[in-house]
Amino acid sequence: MAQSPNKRIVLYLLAGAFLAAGVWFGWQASRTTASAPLDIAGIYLPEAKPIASFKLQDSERQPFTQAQLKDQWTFLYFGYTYCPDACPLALAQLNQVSKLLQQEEAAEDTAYMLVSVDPRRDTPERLAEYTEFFNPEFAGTTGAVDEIDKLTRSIGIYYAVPAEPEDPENYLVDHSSVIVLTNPDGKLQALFSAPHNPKQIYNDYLAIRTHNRS
Amino acid sequence: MLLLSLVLGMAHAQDIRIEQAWARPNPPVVPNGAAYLQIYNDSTTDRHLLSASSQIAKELQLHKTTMENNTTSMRKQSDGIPIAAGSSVVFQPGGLHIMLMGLQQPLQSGQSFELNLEFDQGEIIPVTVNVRKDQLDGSITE
Repeated sequence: MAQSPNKRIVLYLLAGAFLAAGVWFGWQASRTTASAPLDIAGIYLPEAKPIASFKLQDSERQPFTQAQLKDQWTFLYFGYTYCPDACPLALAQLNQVSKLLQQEEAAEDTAYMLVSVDPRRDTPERLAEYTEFFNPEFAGTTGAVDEIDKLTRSIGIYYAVPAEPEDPENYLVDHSSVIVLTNPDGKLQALFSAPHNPKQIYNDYLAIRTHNRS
Repeated sequence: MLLLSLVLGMAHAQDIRIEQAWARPNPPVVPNGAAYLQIYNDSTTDRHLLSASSQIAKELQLHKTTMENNTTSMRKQSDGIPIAAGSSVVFQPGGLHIMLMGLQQPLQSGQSFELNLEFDQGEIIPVTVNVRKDQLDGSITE
């Protein structure tokens, strides 16, 4: 209990730092290449970053892999259902984004996914009930810790679940507060830091789509 | 002694005002929720919120969410929440909140429930919490 979670946290922090550095240098490098930067409130990656392969299950117990990210834009949020404050807020904000998009063509190929980093408590069924409460079109996914880690490391998402909580029903999870956007190639395209502003995410998202078409 | 503290408590209760208490509806599958409010200390002494209790859930805890370095962390505020003389403290999404652990029933929009706030001079202030959805920045009407 004493060592492993701490080690894990350090590993994630390191992974996060390396990725942040990578993204930064990648962005710096890309400024000199043909791919144009885009001025948005969120962080836009001119060179979309490939995501490592992973295998999770969606809330219908169907595979959720890189393939499911393709041919659509996906907003991903990493959290857990027992989270009383930050996660409901983020999902309410994403619901707001989807409402703003309702009148737009973009609504047709936009998906929203809660990735639970707490598979010990969050079964696919629980995730389904949870996400549908916010919006019937929202879905959830989770899976084995190793597989979650492939996805989180690849995107630079940090989280820390206590390895042996005193009470297996009641414990807190630290997790990244960013909302992630993947593009129809299934690559990481943009990150939105907290505190989130639904109108800003909506504006940014439309700008990104227009920018990528040009 | 108990009577004395109750009387003292009542005398001081007017120095503390609680406003805009609300909680968001929660999906029935989740046993946890959060309540938010604003506490005004109109007195000339620094005060301290010690704890909260309610029949609505097994346990209530004072929590704080921080979103620093792109990481969301939630921590129990075991020492309570200070409210300086003549100031106010806002409990709001993504910050201070009263975590409702082990809800007896799902919270539904339009409902309300009672909770009690215990302060450092022994007074207990009852609060009515309204269940409603988040009012978001840039929100649109449904």
